[in-house]
Amino acid sequence: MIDSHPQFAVVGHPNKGKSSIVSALALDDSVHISDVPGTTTKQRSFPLKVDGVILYELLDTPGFQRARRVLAWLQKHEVSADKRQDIVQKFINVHQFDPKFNDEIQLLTPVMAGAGIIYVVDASKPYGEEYEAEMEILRWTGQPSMALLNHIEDTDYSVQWKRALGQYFKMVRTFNPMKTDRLQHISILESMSQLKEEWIAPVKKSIVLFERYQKQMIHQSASKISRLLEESLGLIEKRSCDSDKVEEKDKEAVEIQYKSHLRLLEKETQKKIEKIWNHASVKKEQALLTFDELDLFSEESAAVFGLTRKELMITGVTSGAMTGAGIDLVFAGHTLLLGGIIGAVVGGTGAYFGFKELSEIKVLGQRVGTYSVQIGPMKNKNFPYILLGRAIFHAYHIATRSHAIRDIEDLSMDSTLKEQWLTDTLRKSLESSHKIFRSGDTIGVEVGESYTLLVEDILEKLIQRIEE
Amino acid sequence: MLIKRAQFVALFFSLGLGLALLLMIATQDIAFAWSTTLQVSPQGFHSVLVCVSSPWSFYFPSAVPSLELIEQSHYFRLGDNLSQKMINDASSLGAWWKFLLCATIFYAIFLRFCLYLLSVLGFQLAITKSILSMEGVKQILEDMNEPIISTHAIESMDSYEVVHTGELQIIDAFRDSYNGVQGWAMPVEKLLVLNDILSINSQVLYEVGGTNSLKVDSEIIAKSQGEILLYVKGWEPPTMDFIDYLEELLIEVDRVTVMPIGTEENSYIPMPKSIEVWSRKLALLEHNKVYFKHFTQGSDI
Repeated sequence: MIDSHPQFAVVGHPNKGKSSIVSALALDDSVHISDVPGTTTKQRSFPLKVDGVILYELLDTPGFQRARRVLAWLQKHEVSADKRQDIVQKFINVHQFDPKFNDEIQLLTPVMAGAGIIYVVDASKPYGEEYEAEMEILRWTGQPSMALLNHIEDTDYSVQWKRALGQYFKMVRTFNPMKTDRLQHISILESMSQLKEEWIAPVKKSIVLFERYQKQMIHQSASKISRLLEESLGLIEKRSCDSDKVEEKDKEAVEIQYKSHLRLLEKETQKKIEKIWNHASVKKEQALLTFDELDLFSEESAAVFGLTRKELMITGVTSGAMTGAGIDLVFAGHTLLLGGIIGAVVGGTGAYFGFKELSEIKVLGQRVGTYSVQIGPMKNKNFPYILLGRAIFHAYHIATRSHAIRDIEDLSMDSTLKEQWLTDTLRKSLESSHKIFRSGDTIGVEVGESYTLLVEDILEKLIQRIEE
Repeated sequence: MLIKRAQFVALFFSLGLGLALLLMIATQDIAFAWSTTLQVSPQGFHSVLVCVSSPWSFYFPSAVPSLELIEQSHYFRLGDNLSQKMINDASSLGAWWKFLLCATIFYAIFLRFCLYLLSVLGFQLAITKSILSMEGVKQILEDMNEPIISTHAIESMDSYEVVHTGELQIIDAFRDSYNGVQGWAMPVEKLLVLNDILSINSQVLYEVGGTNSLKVDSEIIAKSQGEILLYVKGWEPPTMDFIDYLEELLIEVDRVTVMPIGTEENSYIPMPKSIEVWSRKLALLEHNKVYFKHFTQGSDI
């Protein structure tokens, strides 16, 4: 018997979503999920480890292939209920190397070693009497068990399934691995802990750690987004040219180079965030979420993620007025607050007219006879909001995406998500950091940290909202 | 760094100053005096000096100039009586050295030393801050402070794909009659309904698999002959239990036509994905007696 930590074997008929459930509960997208029955041929362990100590372990197992034959073998031995476990163990011992019963041996071995049983069925398909043999075998094992109703399709046969499963399992729960969220996840873990009294404490501890794990992931994502904004806004791109007279082709070339560098930074951040949320299994080459060819510098991207012209004007006015107010303060009000007013007008109009321009292109003289053309840091006031909007959109969808989903999502984008998080107060706080990032100076740790906290707060609220 | 070095140099300058004072006291007979253009009385000057000497007055009361000493050492450029008084008290004028030494030690050396320590501290803080601002350092620190939580499998999984081999014989139309119709985990009543819908003519109907015992299935196989139509639930994957049954049945009969059906709610039309799963599995058998029939082809509901 395994006493060190609880083990849960996810068992059932082939192709009923066992691997999907394990993938969703273990937050691991490397589980091979296929509609070809018999894809899982070996049990696979998914331990929840904290600093190397296993708190509980999920086991993905192959489905029953010859349940009637196994049951027939067990029933040949007429024994009292208290001896049934011994007969199941005997079956394992006798058939350990029999390829015919490989799948049954793989799934029964951990169960007989003390693992709790999580029996998975697809409640979107009708109940069938052929399931009774495997449920009876599980009853023979005498291990604590529960049933999970999975819904692979939209149809619902839960009522007939519950009626049948109720005769074999004390607890029957519904769990859709494709639409799982944190609360549903925790609720299933709580049910699992009820299977055995001594499992309550370690699983409860795991639930607390899961909450902490999610906070860690949100913080790390926010930190990556903050870093993206900092690097992108302060980015300077240089390209050597032949003379001090900049030709149009040099300007275009340096701008293309600048834009592709910014696109690369965004893509790299997306990959890092996917890795944080365990959505970056090595075999995946494509991005999980695509922006449907919505380029970072497209008008559409600006319309969906950026500020509206009105918001942009207000942002420009506020930041301009703040600079002007600083001048007023230096002159102790002797400027009759004209600094603030002029700053607001200049800032506002600058923001309005500078809607498309990214940054100034300068020519720098280097050694004798060599020149370089330079672009950056980012001057466009709308760009940080477009970049941040896209990053938050991506991180939010990755954070709420089930690990059982294998398809590449083409996200339909509109500005509704932006409306949920971008308030006037927040915009002001963000703008003050954007201004520092845009300055091209060395950025203090505190600026990056305070920006990370702002993004963290946005992500936390968005994720919480979907759970409510 | 610059501030730290400046404080270091200043500290040594102050130490030098203290040493020079000690040297002068030791080697020369110095008569100290004080004077001012301002109207300051010895009492007023005394109270200022008491205030200045407060940091060491408790430990070295003799290093605090007395009112008497101040009065004696008051030097005026004009006037005979005062100069005569100073001459009389010349021996006591040297007592000032204790005050001057304590003032140098405390105000020049001790306070400078404190400033030097502050600059060292500030320098260390600045280094720490600059290290923290380096890319990745913060992440490492966070990783060290936070528990490392992992949920994934230890070993990576090799994807297991069934290699598709073999050809499946697909028929387009039903036979006029079958020697037997069987349903895998389907009651006879369901078989009657399906036969009725598909206009299948057969008097020998059996439920196989499902809750049947293996013995019952063997008896059905023994009774089977000729051509068999075998209905299967399209939504359930073909298990090895089914394959075992089919292989045993194929020994006894001439031909088995397998037809996956859908759910009643779907008017028994199976999903394309399930047809694919069944046809793929049956093709793997590569058996010339096995035929496959699509529900929608050659059948009208």
